[in-house]
Amino acid sequence: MKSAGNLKKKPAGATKGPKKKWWKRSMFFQILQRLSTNSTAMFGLILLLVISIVAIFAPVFAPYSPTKMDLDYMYAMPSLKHLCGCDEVGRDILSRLIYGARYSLSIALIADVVSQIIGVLIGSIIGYVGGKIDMVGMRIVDIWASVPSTLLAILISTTLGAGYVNTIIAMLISNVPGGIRSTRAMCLKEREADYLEAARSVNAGPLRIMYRHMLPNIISPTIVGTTMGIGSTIIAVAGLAYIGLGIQPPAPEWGAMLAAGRNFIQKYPHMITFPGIAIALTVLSLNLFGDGLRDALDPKMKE
Amino acid sequence: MWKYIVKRILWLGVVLLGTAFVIFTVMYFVPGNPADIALPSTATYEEKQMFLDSLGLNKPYYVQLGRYLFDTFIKFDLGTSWTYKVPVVQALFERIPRTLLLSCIIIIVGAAIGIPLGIFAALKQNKWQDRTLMVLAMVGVSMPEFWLALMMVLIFCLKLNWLPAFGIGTAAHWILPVIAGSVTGIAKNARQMRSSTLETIRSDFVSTARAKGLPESKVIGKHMLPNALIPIINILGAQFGKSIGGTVVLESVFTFPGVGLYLLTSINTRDFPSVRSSVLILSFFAAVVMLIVDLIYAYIDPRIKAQYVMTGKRRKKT
Repeated sequence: MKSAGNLKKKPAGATKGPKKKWWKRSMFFQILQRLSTNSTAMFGLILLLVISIVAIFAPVFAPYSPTKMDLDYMYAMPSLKHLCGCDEVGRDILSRLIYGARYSLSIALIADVVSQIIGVLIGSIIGYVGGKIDMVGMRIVDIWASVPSTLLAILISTTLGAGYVNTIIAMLISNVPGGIRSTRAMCLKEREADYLEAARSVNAGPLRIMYRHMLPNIISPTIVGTTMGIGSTIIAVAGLAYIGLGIQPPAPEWGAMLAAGRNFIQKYPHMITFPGIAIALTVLSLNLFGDGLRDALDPKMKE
Repeated sequence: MWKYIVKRILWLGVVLLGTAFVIFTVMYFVPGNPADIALPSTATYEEKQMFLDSLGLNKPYYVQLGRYLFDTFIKFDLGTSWTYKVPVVQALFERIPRTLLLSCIIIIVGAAIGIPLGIFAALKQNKWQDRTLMVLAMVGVSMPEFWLALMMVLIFCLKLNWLPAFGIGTAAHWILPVIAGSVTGIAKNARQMRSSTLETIRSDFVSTARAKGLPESKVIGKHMLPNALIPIINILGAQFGKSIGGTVVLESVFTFPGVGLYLLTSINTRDFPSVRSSVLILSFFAAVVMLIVDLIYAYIDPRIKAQYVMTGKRRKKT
C-alpha cells in the first residue's frame, strides 16, 4: 500500500522542480522553511530545544546533585555559587529544576501524544462512519467529559495514588475526550469534501479513505493541538503535584517544589519564584512553537 | 426551538447519571478498606463489619452503584461525611455559592476584558499595539494560575500589605483570587477573539458593508462583531468547566472556603463520600453552564435554529 502511494507521488513531484534536491521538495523541509521566517516561532523552538537538551543530559548540566543536602546553605538566597538559591534542606534549586524538567516534559509528552493518538483513532472512525456509531460514541464521550478534566485527573490520582505512571494515566484519561472531539469535528468537516468523493468513486475502502486520504488533511491541526496540549498538560501536572496528588515532594518536580516552597513564601520567596518561571518558560516555548507551526502548516498561507 | 431546549435538558439528566456513574466507578477502585479509614483505629472487627453492613459496602459493585444512584438522584442524599459525621449536603451547602460565584466572576471578567482586547488587537493588526497585546496574551496563557496566585500573594499581601491573603469575608478577599483566576481566561479570549475577528474582517459581507458606504463604526458594530462573537460564546462554556477545575487549586492557594478546598481536605483525610459529592456537584454546575451556553449559542446562531424550525427532509444534507 505504502509503496504504491510513493510511486505515484514521486514522478509528480519530480516534474515540478527537477533541479531541487529530494529533501528540499519534502513537505517537512517546506514547513521548516516557512517556520524559519517566523522569529517568535523560532525563538520558541530554540528555547524548547535548549530545555529538552538540558533535561535529557541533566547530569551534565546540573551543577549539583538534586538530592544532595548541604545544611550550610539552608534557604540560601541566589548567589554565584547557587544561581537559584537553595531550599529548606540546602539542595540546589537550579539542579532540582533541571532534573524536574525531566518529569514535566516526559509526563506531558507521553500523556499528550498517546491521548492524541487514541483520539485520532477513535475520533476518525466516529467522524467518518457517522450515523449510529457517531451518536453512541459521542454520547459516551459527553459523559466521559462531563467531569471537568482537572477534576477527573484529581479523582483518578486519588484512586490510583501518587506516582509517575499514575500521573501519566490520570492525564491520559482526562485528555482523551478532548482529542476525540476535535478529531471528530475535523472529520465531519472533511467528510463531504470533493477529494473524498473522488476516492469513493474509485472504490477506495473506508480504511484507505480514512487513513490515506482524510488523515493527512486533518493531521496538521492535530500536531498543533498536541504541541499546545503538552503545554497545558505541564501546567496540569504541576497543579496536581502542587495539591499533593501527582509526583511527591522529595522528587524534584516543579509543582511539588512550589508546594514545598509556599510554606516559606514570606522569608524565602526565591523558592517559589524559580520553579514557576521554569514552568512558564517551558509552556511559553511550546505555545510559541505551536502557534508558529499552525501558521506554517496552514495551506492557506501558501502563495 | 422548544424541541431543541427540551431535548438538551433531557440529555442533561442522562449526562448527570453518567457523571455519577463515572465518579462512583473511579472511586470504587480506591484501595483499602473503607472501615479502616472511616473508623478510629481502636474499632474492633465487629464494629468494622457493622459499619460496612450499615452502608452496604459489602455488597457487589452493581448493588452499591444502584444504591448510590438511587440515593443521589431520588433521595437527594449525598451520604455522610466520614470525618465530620454530618451529611455532606450540609457541609457543602454554604460552600457551593462561593465557588460558583468565584467561577462566574472569573469567567465574566475574562470575557469582559479579553474580548475587547482581542477586537482591538485585530483592528490594529500587525501594529505595535497588536504585537504587544499578543505577546502579553501568550505569556498569560503560559503561566500556571496557581503560581501567579502565589506571586500575587507574595507581592500584594506580604510585601505591600495591601490585600488580605487568606480566607474570605470582605470584598477585598475576592480581588486576588479573581485576578489570578481570570488572567488565563483573558489571554485565551483575547487570542481567540483576535483570530475570529480577523477571519470576519476578510469576509465578503464586510467588504459589501463597506462598499455600501456604511461608516466604519457600523461596519464593525453591526456586521463584524456579531459574527466574530459566535465562536467565542461556544468557548466560554468549555472555559467554565476548566475554571471550575482551576478554582480547586486556586482555593487551596488562598484558603478560600469553597467546594474545591473541601474536596482537597476530604482527599487528604480520605473522606470519600465528600470527595464523590464535591466532584459530582462541581461537574453538575459545569454541565448546567455548558447547557446554558449551548442554548444561547443556538439562539444566536441561526444555522442551529434552522435545523429545528424548518421541517421536512430538506435540511438533512446541505
